[in-house]
Amino acid sequence: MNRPSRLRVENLNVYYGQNQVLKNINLDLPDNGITVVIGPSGCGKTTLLKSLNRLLDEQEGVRVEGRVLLDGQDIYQAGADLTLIRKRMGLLSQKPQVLPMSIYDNVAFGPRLLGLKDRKVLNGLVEKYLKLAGLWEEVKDRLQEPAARLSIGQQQRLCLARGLAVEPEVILGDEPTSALDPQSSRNVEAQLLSLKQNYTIVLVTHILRQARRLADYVAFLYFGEVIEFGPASEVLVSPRDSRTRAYITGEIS
Amino acid sequence: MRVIGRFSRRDRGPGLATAPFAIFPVALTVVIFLALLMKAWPLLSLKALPSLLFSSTWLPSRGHFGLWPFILGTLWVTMTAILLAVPVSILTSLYLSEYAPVRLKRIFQPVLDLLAGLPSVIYGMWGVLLVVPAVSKFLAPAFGRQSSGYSILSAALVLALMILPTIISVSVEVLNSVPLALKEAALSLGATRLEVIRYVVMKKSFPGILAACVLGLSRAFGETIAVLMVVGNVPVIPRSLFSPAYPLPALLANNYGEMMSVPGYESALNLAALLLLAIVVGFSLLARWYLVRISRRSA
Repeated sequence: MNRPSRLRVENLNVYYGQNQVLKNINLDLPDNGITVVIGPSGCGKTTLLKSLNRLLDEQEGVRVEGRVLLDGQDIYQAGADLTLIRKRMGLLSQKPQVLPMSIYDNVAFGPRLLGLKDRKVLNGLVEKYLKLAGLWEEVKDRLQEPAARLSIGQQQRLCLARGLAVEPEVILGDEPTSALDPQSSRNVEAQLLSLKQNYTIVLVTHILRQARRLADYVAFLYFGEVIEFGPASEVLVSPRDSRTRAYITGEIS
Repeated sequence: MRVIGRFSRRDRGPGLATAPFAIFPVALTVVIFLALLMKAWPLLSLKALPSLLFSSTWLPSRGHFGLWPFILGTLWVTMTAILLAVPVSILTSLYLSEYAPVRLKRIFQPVLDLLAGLPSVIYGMWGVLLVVPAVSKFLAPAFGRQSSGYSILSAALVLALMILPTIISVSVEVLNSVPLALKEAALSLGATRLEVIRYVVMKKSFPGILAACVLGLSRAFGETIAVLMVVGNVPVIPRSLFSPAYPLPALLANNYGEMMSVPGYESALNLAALLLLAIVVGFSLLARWYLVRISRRSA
């Protein structure tokens, strides 16, 4: 990687109380590509993801050291605008978390927070991002229905549309297909692949096959440390570290 | 082929053994209702129900049993208490669930449970010692009124304090049940914490908080001794918060078992009890109906 990427992690250490969850993480997350973070459960994948948009701040007893740079700005520096930082990164969680409101209002939620009220503009945005998330055709006639009525797979794509509607630069996915059936998973995966030209995507997964399908770059996390990080073709095919190899061949999980 | 869901033979025994106990509370409610109705019947067969409910003359010795002052007394005291308690409870529970540090939460919960379990007579005495003089000396003059202090306001203040712990405790429980992941979803869309509370947490918790308030309301309707000690017990139509009143539970507690020789008196008190029961059940049903309606609309 020659040019510095927009999203960089430098010497990141995260502690839950006495327990160190992330150990000296250094990552250059490449622009316009999908970086997949793999590793056994409990190794800090989700924590790493949440440290990228400061969601860790919401939990008590968490201490963060080090820097996360977004366009050269440290998001952990004093006085950083939390809401602005979070807006620049869309989040897809393990289980889709639709807001308790209509399909339309879910997508319009972010733009409305920015003060957008013009109904016509909002209509346009809702349509645009539902299309981008591949959901428009299924819901265009029922936009005012509660989002909770959608199927789980549709809900996850709604969450994607909602996240895209705030026009983030980065998309963070925390095992976004783990609650979905195979067909819906493929849908979401297809959306992510089509989005990667324009976004930096960081995806946590424990499904190796998914990593193979989606990853441009792979980071292998093991007990809070990045063991290996590089192009997917290298890490997944011919890993340098014995632990990575063991994980990929299924010896450790 | 057997119908799915039927119990196997071995499971049928325990089912049969426990069923009567489940019927018991339902049956008890019906029995209470019927007993009150039977006792109230002599009066109801003499006078039309509306003339008993809406007349404001309460002179048992002359055969006038107008219950209107008592009904109004109950409604005034309870509604004022709810109006005082609900905003405070919601703000407190929001603070406790969304903002307070863990250590404070750990102190608060047992204190709330303790307050909820205090005998009501203690609240009543505290009301007589503190609230009544405060209303008489400070609050009433501040509004340009005169009051002995034994008033609707005193009763409502004492009552509000009594139902606060219940409402807060349940509301905190409800607010805590909003998944962290949902809040994170809203936060990552650029919402501030306040916006998350306003658009997500409150919306998600509304039915539960409403249920908490109804719980407080039922307790307030039925609370007897603490109210009776500070409300003045004068059967008049209340004119303001500073006037005394005579809610239904106080009427029953003060008089049942006495003056029973007066014709129609016992019957009138039973009617009052029936009325109290009807009001409480009515409000619970109303709340339940509303809850079902909003949960249908959103899911």
